Amino acid sequence: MYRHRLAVYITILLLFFVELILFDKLRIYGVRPEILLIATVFFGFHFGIARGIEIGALSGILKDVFSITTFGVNIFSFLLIGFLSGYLKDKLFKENFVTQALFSCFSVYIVCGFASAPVGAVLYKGLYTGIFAPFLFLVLTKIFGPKET
Amino acid sequence: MFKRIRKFPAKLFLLILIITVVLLNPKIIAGFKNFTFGILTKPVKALSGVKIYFKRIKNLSEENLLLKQRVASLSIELARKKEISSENKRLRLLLDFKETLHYKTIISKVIARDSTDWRRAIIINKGTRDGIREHASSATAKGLIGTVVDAGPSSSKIMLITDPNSRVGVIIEPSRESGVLIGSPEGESRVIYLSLDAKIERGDKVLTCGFSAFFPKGLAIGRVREIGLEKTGLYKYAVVDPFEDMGKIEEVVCIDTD
Repeated sequence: MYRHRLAVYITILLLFFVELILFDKLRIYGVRPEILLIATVFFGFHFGIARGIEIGALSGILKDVFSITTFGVNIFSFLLIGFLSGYLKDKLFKENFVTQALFSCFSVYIVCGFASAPVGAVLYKGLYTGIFAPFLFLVLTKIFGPKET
Repeated sequence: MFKRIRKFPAKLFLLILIITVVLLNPKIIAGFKNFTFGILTKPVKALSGVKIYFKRIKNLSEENLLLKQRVASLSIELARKKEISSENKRLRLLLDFKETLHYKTIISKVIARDSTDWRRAIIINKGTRDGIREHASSATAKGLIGTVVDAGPSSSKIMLITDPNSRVGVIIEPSRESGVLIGSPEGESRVIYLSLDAKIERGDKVLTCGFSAFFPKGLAIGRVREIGLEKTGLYKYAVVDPFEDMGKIEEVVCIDTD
């Protein structure tokens, strides 16, 4: 159990560095995909509300620490997304690429709503995140998804 | 016995005789040797050529591999040298710029950008341990880029002048008209609160006015690109193109005005 949690935390940390450093060079219209948000949605979808909130809070802390926004804005919005994805765990067809893309895209719009971000950037960010989401879901499912017997 | 001798064929005897005569003649032997050697060396040469050909191919492929490795390592070396040379050029410019300032300055490297895409900030590798303080202004050799908003022990966050929360007191050259430079969510800088009769033109230079305790006076910021009237009709505004490309900053100088 603890080993699994540690693996999740390390993955979140790695994804954060990938977003901050690697995707800084892969900006489209000046925006990067919200990788940590996709990860939060993934863990909420697969492990429920508690884990969604936990991962959302961790991702939000990382985002807030490396930003000049008011500390707590990202923690709150990511936590909310973690809760929402955990709550909708059994209500949505989470294995579907379209569900993953759309939910990730709308999550970006919710998060950006709290940060009063410019509309143009938010629109592109949502789309970029939505397109990238199924790929990250695929990778994370391979690592943390249910094991076939 | 004589019968046996008689039975010995005359043709064979003649042949032995000729061979004997031929073997006794060195010239004929040499000619024969050369002739035979000439014929036999041809296939040997051909076979040897094939062997050499395959050996050369083997050597060439090995040499090719070695050369490819060498080219790869030299390309990496060249890229590294180019990067060092470019960094050297930038640092030299920063050093020259640093010498023109009469304040305590700290040169630092940019290690990351803000984790959100709508805030314009950079993270540098120097902090309070190196003498960086909050509100210290930051610049490059081209001009002012922002101010330190959060100084940690070994790293700091700099809010760029294009950030929506940034406010810098400026004057516009040559009219000496003063205003406030603000950022926008779109990453654009504009000078607001310019009087209606301000004589400003496109291409005018924007400098820090020095009214603030944190920004040294006369630090270059950018050039006026566009002039317009505010919606209220009470003031003019000027859109400014910063001298420094905010997306490509790699090294900065933090200026401590105290």
